[in-house]
Amino acid sequence: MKDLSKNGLSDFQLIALIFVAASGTSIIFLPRSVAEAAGRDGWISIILGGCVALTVAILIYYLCSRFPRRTLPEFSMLILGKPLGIMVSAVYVVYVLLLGGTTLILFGEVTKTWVLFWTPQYVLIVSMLIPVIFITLKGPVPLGRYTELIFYFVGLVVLILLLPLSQANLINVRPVGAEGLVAVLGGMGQLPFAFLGIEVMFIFFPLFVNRGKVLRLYLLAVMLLVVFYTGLTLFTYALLGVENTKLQVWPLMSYLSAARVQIIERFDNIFLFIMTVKIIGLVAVQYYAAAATSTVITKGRYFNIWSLLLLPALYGITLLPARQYAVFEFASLVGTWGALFVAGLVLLLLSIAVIRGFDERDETQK
Amino acid sequence: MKKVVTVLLLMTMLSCSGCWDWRIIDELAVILGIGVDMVEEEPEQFLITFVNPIFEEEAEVVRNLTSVRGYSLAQALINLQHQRQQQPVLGKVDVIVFSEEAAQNGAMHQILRQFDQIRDKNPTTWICIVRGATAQDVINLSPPEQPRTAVLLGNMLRHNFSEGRIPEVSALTYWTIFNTRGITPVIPVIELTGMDEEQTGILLAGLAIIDEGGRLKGYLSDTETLMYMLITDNILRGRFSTRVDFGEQENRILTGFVQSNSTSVKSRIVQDKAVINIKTDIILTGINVDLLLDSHLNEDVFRELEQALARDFQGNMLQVLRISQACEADFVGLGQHVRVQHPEWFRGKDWGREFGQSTINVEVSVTIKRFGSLVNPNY
Repeated sequence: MKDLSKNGLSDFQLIALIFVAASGTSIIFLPRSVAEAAGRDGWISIILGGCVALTVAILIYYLCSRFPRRTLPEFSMLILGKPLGIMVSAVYVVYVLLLGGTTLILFGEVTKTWVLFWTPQYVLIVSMLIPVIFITLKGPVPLGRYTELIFYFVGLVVLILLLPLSQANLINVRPVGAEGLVAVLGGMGQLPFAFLGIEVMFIFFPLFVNRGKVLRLYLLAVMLLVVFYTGLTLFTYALLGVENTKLQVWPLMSYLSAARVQIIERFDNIFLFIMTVKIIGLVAVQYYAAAATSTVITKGRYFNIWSLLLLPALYGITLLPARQYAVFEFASLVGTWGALFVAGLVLLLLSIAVIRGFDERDETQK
Repeated sequence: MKKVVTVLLLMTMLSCSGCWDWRIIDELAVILGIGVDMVEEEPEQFLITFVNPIFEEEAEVVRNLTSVRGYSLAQALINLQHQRQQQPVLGKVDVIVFSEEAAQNGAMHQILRQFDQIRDKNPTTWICIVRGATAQDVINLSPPEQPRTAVLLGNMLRHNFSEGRIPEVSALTYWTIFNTRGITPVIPVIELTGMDEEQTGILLAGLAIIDEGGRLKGYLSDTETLMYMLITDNILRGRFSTRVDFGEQENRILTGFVQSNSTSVKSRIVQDKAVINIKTDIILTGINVDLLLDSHLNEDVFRELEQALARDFQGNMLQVLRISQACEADFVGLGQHVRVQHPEWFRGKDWGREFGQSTINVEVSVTIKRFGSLVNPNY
């Protein structure tokens, strides 16, 4: 990749990029899925899952920081050799497309259920893919700026999310820890999809201007994600009750529908409109990662072509689960295999890099 | 060229979504109130009355009332559409009224479940039960101050909630409470009022007790409702009225405001049964009392009245809890506290039955902050 240090991504953009890349549609149904496994203590599962995500984030950082000027396809080819490196990169491309595609399907589902009941799914998806391709073609720096803008929007979302709280009752989340450790650990099994996306660091690491602060900012972004998920899950339980939360397909939407203010009556719909911007951001980040990786595999050429060629693949993924239950099964599958792939990849590459002494940090500093 | 392409892409986006879901507001029948009754000759059928406002200038009436039959709410909506030029929508339903019969036989629960499944409903819609009349009568009512009964009823319930007279009972809170172990719902009860058999008004008459099966089990009177509000810490700026004995002056009327209230519940398990101790601290203000006093600015007057009120509240609270236990419907939610304090014991118990057999103690302390503006009210 060319040197973008003078025109790279700022500290704030780093936080925004990681937050946007990871926090997708999962929050809309996360309170239910963790409650099914961990009951009232589902929020503890999220905190523990967040600790695992932080550990993975640290490993990702140490891997990327050994190759400060290289992205995943570049350092994987260096560590594993060209054929294996290309293979790993190709799997990564498939993975990010699956992640982006699943996010689009889930968002399409919730939008169709809640607002645009008769609008065909393909119209919703295509109308979101148009800005995705547009932002991707502009390159990583405008993408970083876009995620920064989205981050401000998320601030607005947080305000909206606080509105129904006046009706919440904390007794609904007590007693803390009564479900037992096994249940809490079981709840963590529902989390992989929620934390996938933090590994975009593989692709964006060389673009961050302030390398000395990357680890701190990276962990801060992941922690924000954990706070966001935990807070919303607690809010939902406190308002709807855990038993009622388990009955909702989209518990966060049910939570939001409890908020009514004189002028704006449907905060659930406003939340969805703001989320549209957020989902476009997530898919754009993942899609850029796919296009950038494919470009490196083809010797750094054809970025624009890849940006267009991968679009049918991404759209094709959105067609895979045809019915509502299949969408959730698909998301769970992508979450589990995606988490295994990311964790396995980091451990494999980092171990080999350490054993074989691949470390370009000094070289860069010189 | 790039700018032109960008603008075109954005315009395509704008025109892409929404076309399939367009709705013209003038073509919608925005339902504000729903009344649910049973059909006498067909017990499985409902008679559902819908009311929506009419905004057309040439219309002779301000609202449109339609009663339809159906085996479910959705079917009633389909039947409603067969009679209307506009599309009925439930996004702004302010109140759903159920007849006593519908509440007793579980039909209310059934309709609320169907309402809960509707996508574009208003989950914060108020629910209430009418006693001594049908839900259709309520919806058909034409109160002189507000011809739209649903609006009047919705406002009445909302204001009584903000005055601490009733809890907030919406379709959403009903399901939250019903689905939560250790608590059962209550629903406001209304009655119709009027002169010479002509009913023109609505009266809030207390709360209905709903059991764990979603059926109406009994009622709480006005005073009992106040006690319910105190035990559940729901009361905010609530006004109350009672009678107390003060020395030789017996049965004197006393009114005032609840400034604040704090209830704590402690439970223990004795011989596999729950023993629940409720402690309520009530701070009262703005006391008006029908007493003959030299001056109320006297510590003894404050203390004696505080003790009299504490005894009064304690007795009334115990009465409410006895009703609750007799119905095996824990509407004050003591089971939630037991669940929190003894999760292992609570797990797997039939709380409705356990609750009926529990020992409940109540301790009340009252603090009077200030009286009204007269030193001797009976001057």
